[in-house]
Order: sequence, then C-alpha cells, then structure tokens
Amino acid sequence: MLINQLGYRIAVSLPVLLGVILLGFVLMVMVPSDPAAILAGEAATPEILARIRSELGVDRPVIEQFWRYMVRLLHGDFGRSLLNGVSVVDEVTRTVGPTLELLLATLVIAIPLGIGLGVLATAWRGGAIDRAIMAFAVVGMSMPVFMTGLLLINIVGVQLGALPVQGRGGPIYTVQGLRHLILPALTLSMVLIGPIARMTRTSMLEVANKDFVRTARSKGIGERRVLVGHVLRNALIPTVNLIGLQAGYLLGGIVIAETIFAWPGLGRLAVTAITSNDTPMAQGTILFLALSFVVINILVDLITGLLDPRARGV
Amino acid sequence: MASSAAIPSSRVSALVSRLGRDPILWISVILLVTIIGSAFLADWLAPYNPIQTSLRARSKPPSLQFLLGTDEQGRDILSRILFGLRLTLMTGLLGLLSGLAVGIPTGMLAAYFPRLDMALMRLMDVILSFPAILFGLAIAGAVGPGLTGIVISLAVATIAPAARITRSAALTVVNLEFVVGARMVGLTNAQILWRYVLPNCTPALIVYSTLRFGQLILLGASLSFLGLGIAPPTPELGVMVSQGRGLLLTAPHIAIIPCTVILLLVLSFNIVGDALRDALDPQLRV
Repeated sequence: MLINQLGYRIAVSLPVLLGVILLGFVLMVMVPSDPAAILAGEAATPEILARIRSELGVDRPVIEQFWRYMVRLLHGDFGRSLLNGVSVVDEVTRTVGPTLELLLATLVIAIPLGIGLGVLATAWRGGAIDRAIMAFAVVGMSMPVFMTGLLLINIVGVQLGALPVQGRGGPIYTVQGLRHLILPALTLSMVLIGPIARMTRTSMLEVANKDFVRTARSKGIGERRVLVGHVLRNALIPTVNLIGLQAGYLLGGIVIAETIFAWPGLGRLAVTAITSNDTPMAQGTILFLALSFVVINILVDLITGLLDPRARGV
Repeated sequence: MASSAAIPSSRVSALVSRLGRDPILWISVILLVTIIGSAFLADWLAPYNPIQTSLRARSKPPSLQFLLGTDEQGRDILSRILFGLRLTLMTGLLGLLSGLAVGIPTGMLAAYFPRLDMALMRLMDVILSFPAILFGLAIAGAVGPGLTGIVISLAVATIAPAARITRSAALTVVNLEFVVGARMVGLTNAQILWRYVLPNCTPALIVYSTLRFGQLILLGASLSFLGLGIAPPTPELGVMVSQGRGLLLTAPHIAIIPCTVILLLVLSFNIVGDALRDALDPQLRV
C-alpha cells in the first residue's frame, strides 16, 4: 500500500516538474533583455554579441532551444549565472544549507508551540484562555510574513538590541549562528503556529467524544493523561497532514524571510536572480525549489501513512 | 429549487443572531465595509495627490496636517493607502474571479461527467502541488514585474481548490431525483448544470471565496513586496512596505502603517469567513 502511495505521488509529481521546466524555459525565451548583451558588457561589438548568441544557442528556433535545454538538464548542466559566471549548481548547493537550517529551526519552534497552544486551548475550551489562543492564531494567520519580520527587527533587534537582524552568523551549532537564526526562524514560525494550533484543537475536540476516551476516563485516568495520552495522540494525524498542506505557504514565507533578514539562502537567491534578469540562475533556483516542495509532500504522505494505517489507501 | 433554496433561511438567521452576540464579528464586518468603501471612494476621500512628492515634508510622523504621516519622498501616506488599497483589492478580486471562472466549471464538469472526473482532478492535483509564490516568481520572471503577473498567479492559486470544492458540493446533488428528472424532461446538460447544480455549490463557494480572498491579498502583497508586482511610484500596499523597510530606524511608521492596514483587512476577511463557514457550511475545512 505504501509503495502504491509513493508511486502515485511520484507519478503526479512528474508533470509538475515538467511544467516547472517548461515554465522556466518560457521564462528564458520571453525575458525582454538580451542575455548576450548582459554577458558581453558595455564594450561589446556586434560580432562579439553574435558569437555569444550562437554559443548560448539563443539564435536557434525555439523548439530546438527547448530540446537542447532539456538535454542539458538531463546531463545535470543548469548553466551559469549571466551576472558573474558562477555555475548555477554550485550556487544552489551553496545556498541550500542555510535554507534547510532556517526550515529546521522553524519546525523546531512551530510544531511544539502550535501543538502546545492547541492542547491548552482544548483543555480550557470555551474559556478565556481558549479564546485568547484562538485570537492569537487567527491574527498570526492574517499577518503578512514581512510584517512579522519587520516588527521583530524593530522591537527585538533595534529597540532592545538583543539579537542580530541581518545575515547568517555561522554554522547552526555555534552561538553566533544560533543568535542570527532566532529572528528569521521566529518570523517563519508564525506562518505555521496559528494553523497548527487551530487544527490540533479541532481534531482533539473531535476525538474527545469518542468511546475510547470515555473508557479511559471511566478507568480513573487523570484528565491530563487522557488529554495527552489518548486524545492528542489520535488527533495528531490531521495536524501532520496540515503541515504538509502548509508547505506551500512555508515556501513563500521562506522567500520573504530570507529577503528581509538578508539570509543567504535559496529563496533570496531566486528573488535576486529574477529581479536582476539572471535567467539561468532564476530557472535553476525555481526548478530546485519546486523539486524540494515535491519531495516535502511525498515525505509528509509517507509519515501520515506510517502514523495512520487508514490513510494508506490512495 | 431556486438559488435561494440552496442556503436554508434557518442558517441565515443563525448567522444574523450570531452577529448580535459576537462583538468581534461585528467589528470585523464594520471594518471590512469601511476599508472597502473608503478604497472605492479614494478619489474623494484622499486629502492629497498620492504620487505628489514634497521635499519639505519628508518622513513626517502622523500629525493633524498628515493624519498618517508622510513617506521618505514627502508623499501623504493616508492618500497612498487609500489608492493602494483600491489597487490591492482590485488585483485580489480580479485574480479570485478569473480563478473561479476556470475552477467552478472544471469542478462541475468533473462531478457531472464521471468520465472526465479522473483526468480533470489529476490535472488539478498537478496545479495544486505548485506553490503559489513560486508560480508568482516564475510568472514575474516571464512577463516581467507588473499587475498582469500578479493577477495570473492569484488566479492560478485559486483554480484548483475552487474546482475541488465545487466538485464535492456538486457530487452531492448530481444523482438526486430532481437532477435525474430534469434530464428526463429534456433539459440540456448546460441548463441542468447552470440551474440545478451550480446553486447547490454556492454556499461552499461563498465561504471559500471569503476565506481565500484574505490569502490572495497576502500573496499579492508579498509578491509586490518582493518587487515583482506594481512598479513605484504607483501606490500599492506591499510596495509601500518594501520602500519603508530601509527607514525602519528613523521613520518606522512608513512601513508599519501599510502593514497594519493589510493585517486588519486580511484579519477581517478571515473572521467573517470563519463565521460564514460555521453558519453555511460547517463541514468545509479550508
């Protein structure tokens, strides 16, 4: 069953990747600027421009260009930056580490906090704490990522001077690295905490009326143990699923958080490449981001399948 | 079965009575009406020209002369917010409507013609697994920064979920007697879909659109913030935040005010959407 599920996900994902490749290619053809002119610089003569164009293959028919592009991709050749000639693959591998760091830190903050808030709200359902937590959740869901980021920069970074607000301080296991990581990760966590808290509460309330919970209570188990050991355990599956569904929003958040905090990651690389018309770099980063999104979704499907045998059917 | 019958009056009255008991919902509704209304009256309400710069009134904090202060080029922020809101709302609406225009027929066709179901819904899966911001980035790269790119990406972000919701709502009625009966008396498929199937999808679609609209505004503002949307000096909320970003130390209000407006707008849409869902379509989880 699990294999079937995996096969289905991969089969669905292939057209997505093809679509991304096609889109990336269309991007290259449609961009109004002339890549040869960017590469050659200002002192280019028409002869030099023509030579670069034929080297790049942009003087050929569109279909042939697409074919050559696909062949190059299959050989792992993603081209070079038009701005500084760096290989796209090198640049992507250089930036993927910091982005994964940020993602990891975000999940470490958001999952326990979101689930914790959801459990608290369920324990005091209908009361003031419940309402306060749900209000926090809906405000968090409505706040643009750039606003969370700017507020944290302004309050924690500038007014309190407590934490650095720009760039990466070093590897994640050093003090400087961690200090730099906190604010971007907190910013990004706000994308997840609200939805996770709401989903945890909803699915816990759904489970709370089930027979096995009543049995657990009637056996004299304490309320706290019933909530965490019986209710929460069974309510976690929709929450895990939700994290997968939120992966798209998270990706958007990463792009913005990296831009605001000058985090040297893949998202910022993509934005810079697009705004500076660096087409090969833009294509490469978008393709890679889409690929990682597909992988995340397959992973979430597998985890849900492991947690809940019922979800394994396609 | 007319279109009004798809939303039972008991649910509407439940909504109205909830409105009486829930002050936050009240405030959200009033806020929404005020924000949308003032955006459409921007031409009359704006105290200054939103793109008129002034060297003498640069980065001024809120005062009686400039209610929300001025930005780094001396432009009145209140006027820019009003015009920016209009653009933001129009972009969101255009994206939502174009997305619905594709998504609703797709969902109805999938529900009504079982042979198309598999192919159409798998196609929607493909679109759904493409993150909206990524699509926005790619489109901006392809058509260049501007309004067109944003509207296209908002529309694409709407199509697949709208198709899914329409399909599941339509599936509940396509085999009921009144639809089978309509087919027997010789109505064409198009007439049946339009008169009998679509009205039964409206409650779910209203809820979806309200909740989705907030998300679309966030998405559009994010794309503009990244510099992929409307080019300055045209006022747009995301662009205003991005321009005020560099002056966070000296004049934080330039970035914080448009942020707050976006937050209030999206928050109101979410609260009203939640209430609509509880009243019209409790099963729906968007």
